[in-house]
Amino acid sequence: MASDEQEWRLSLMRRLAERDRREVTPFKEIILQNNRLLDNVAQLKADNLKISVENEQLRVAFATGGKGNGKDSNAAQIAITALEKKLLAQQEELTDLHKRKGENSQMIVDLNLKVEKQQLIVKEKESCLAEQKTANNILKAEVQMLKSSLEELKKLNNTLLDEHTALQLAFSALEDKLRGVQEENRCLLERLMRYKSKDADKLNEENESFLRKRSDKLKRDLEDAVREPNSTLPRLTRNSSSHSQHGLGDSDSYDNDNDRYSSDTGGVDHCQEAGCGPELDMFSSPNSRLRDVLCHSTTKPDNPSTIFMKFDAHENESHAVRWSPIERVLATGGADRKVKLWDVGKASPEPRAVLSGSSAGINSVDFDSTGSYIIGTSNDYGARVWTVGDNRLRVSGKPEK
Amino acid sequence: MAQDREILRMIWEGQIAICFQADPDEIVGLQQPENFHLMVSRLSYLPLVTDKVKKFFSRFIANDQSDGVVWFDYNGIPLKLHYPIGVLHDLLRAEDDNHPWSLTIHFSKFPEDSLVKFDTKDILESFFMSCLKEADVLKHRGQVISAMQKKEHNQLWSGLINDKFDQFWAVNRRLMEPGAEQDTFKHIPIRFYEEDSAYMQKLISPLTETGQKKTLHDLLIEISTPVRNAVGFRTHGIDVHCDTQLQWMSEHLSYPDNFLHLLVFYENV
Repeated sequence: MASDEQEWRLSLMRRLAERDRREVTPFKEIILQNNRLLDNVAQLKADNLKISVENEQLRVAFATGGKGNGKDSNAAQIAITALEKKLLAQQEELTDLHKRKGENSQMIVDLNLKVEKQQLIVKEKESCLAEQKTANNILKAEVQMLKSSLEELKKLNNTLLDEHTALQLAFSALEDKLRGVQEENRCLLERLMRYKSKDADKLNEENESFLRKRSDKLKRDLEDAVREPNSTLPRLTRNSSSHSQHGLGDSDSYDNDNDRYSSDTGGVDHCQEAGCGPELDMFSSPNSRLRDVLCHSTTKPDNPSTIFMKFDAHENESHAVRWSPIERVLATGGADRKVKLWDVGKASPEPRAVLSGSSAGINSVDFDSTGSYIIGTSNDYGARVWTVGDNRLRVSGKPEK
Repeated sequence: MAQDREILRMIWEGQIAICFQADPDEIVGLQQPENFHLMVSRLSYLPLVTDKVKKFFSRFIANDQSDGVVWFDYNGIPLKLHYPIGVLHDLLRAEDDNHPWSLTIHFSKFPEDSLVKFDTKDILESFFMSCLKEADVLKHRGQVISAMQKKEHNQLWSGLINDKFDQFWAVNRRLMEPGAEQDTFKHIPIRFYEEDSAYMQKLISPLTETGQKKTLHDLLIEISTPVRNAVGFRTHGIDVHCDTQLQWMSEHLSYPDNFLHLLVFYENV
């Protein structure tokens, strides 16, 4: 039953669809369009009619206006004159308006020119402004650079100040150190001096003891000699005449004694010379003591009898002789205008140096306290100073004539 | 109950293409009017849909005739204005070519003897309502239609003339409901048409003597006479399958006036 229903229902639907396809679809759209077009046509025709009617009316109105017909023509004439007046007025207005238009366009042209000029000015101003801005920027950059360099300099300054203070501190520390060191040095020198003085004392003591011994010996000898009166006093010959001994204060009284002494005393002197400059004072005292000793023993002078050394110092006469304060060196000056240095440490003197430069005979020589300089006076009215170490003339002084 | 909405919609939307021509005798003036084509609903009536046609053609005819009642003819046969257009088409249009149905519109010489004059729409409305009442009497002894209010009757009519399916069927649904005691109508409102345009109306029950639902087979047998046999039915432009239930047909294939309008094909015995 259900399938039957479905069957006739389906067939019904199919047939309805078939019917529609046949009867409806071919015509629907076309008829619709057709009707629309017809409506449009009707509308257009109506409009057309209206317009043609209006046209006709206008034409009729125009036509009737031209015809003369009694009162109609009068009215028409009046209308015409009125219209003509209106026309004239309109024409006048028109010319007026044309004139004004011309004036306005002229004004427009002038204003355009003005505007262009203004624009040029504005452009110039803008370019000026741009330049100023660039200059400003440059200046700002410079300022920036200067500021930065200033900063750097300040920093440098700070660092320098710091270094300065540091150096000051170091300096003060070093000063303190120096003072301390100098103190130490002084102390050490004092000690040294003390030691030296002690040594000198010792040596003096030794000397004294030696001298005592010698004097004792001399005494004994003298006693012996006295006992044996057939012994004679040896006579010493020396080539050099004495003028000045080195470094001794009472040389005058000592000259006489000098002839009598051999290089033994020189040897004694040498022993005693083992000291530096400030010790010279010491020399006088033992020598004076020696002198005293000798003065005491001049009753029986015990003159040196033997010659220790003999040599030819100069070609001509030798006028001056001096012992070096520091070493076993002898300086002699002679008429051959030369000062000669002799090493007398050994048995025979060895020539050490010849100092020339004088133009006349040397008549006196002397060492300085340190033994490094030697001065020689000559008969050419002048004095010369040589260095002992390298034998060079240092100072040559002559009074001008 | 009319449940098969799809069928209902297809029936409702059935249309016919009509080409209206003017009567050559009536044309005044030099212009020849063109044919006016129109798609009309099968379920509607000619006076309802032809206002535009009238207006279109009235320009071409004499002024004094344009106020009269318009009538149409097909091949010389004047068309009854109170028949649904679909019925007229199925009845009168013999050949089945692919052209629109050509009708001629007339403004004068109304054939008083063959047509009923429907001057205004109100007359047609009252005829429509009387058809509805008649159908309801057959189906429900008139109880449903009399229970309805006036505005519902108006809704039916306005739904028909404005082509509003939902509006019409909102009310028509109630008319299509089966009776209280049985699930069919009491009788089927049905009109049988033959070749000429008069119809036959018989009292048809939806159930057979045995109580089953009648199909068209049974109907065929019922209206066959000893002289001639009924062999097929046609409605809404289609041949209906003979197994179709009558009750269902009445619910779905009725015209808006709630009648089944069936074209019967006879065969001589």
